[in-house]
Amino acid sequence: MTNKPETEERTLETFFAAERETFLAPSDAFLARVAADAVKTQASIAQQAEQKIPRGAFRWPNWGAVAGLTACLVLGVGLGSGFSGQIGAYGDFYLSGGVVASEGLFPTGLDTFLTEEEG
Amino acid sequence: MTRTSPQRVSVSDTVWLVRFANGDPEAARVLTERLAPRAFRLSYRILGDQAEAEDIAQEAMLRLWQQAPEWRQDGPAQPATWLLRVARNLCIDRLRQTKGRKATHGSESLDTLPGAQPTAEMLLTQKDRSRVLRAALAELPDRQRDAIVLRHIDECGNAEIAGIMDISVEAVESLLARGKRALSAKLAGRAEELGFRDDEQT
Repeated sequence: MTNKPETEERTLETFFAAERETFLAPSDAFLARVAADAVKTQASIAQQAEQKIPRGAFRWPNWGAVAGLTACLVLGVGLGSGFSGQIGAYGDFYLSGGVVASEGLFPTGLDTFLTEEEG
Repeated sequence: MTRTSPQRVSVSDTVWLVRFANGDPEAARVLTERLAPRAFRLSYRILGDQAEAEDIAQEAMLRLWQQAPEWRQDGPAQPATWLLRVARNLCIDRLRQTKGRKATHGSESLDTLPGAQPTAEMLLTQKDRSRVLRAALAELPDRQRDAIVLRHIDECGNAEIAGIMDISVEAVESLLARGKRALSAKLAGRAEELGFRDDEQT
């Protein structure tokens, strides 16, 4: 003879076993929807990964900035070293020490100043 | 690789989820096969409605897919535990929205199920026994019902149940003990009526 708690326990277990063995299957349509969600999500994850630029990846420069810096560099070298030349009929010009001037191109006073400086 | 290959079976859900995030289509198939039916069964046992259970399980699976890129292979969380917790929480939300409707499987209750007037011709099938159990479970408090379903029907360990229900293992043990007492009381006197005899149970 078994005691009551043991009997109750066994009875419960029999009910549980019956429920476990009752096959509860989701529909094929459900599994298809889950699979479709998986495919969409995988595509979305891949797209997001492509959009992220990894660290250290090559970036094209800003060409405007490159041109500006180059112009400044050339002008700076030119100013630093000094050069001179002639602009058509306007007379001689020269660059030196950051001063741009020309003989015959500017008013008389400046020409005089430059001549005196030069002299 | 076939669907039953030992290599595939031995790979953990966590590894498959990481592979899923890396674009492996096989991972999507494996995880759908392994986890979606579990999420469905738990949802069905809580909600008692196939269509609703499938909606909830699909939503839980979608959240798992979306979580995949953030999943840490060396992290403590198990995908199955995480998924069942999400499914259970979604079920609880759904039950609240439907104002506490429980898994009574339509208009059935414990008293109207087969077995109330047993006859020789009305020997219960296993399916009938399951229906009686579900009706009795539906009358339990939610947390007791969920703990019993997870432990005795889905055969989860107490630690896993604690993770799914977000409570301590001790609380799980307490819920199980109280739930089984309540369930025994509800089924008292029904066992013989339902075709169970003591000699069957030994």
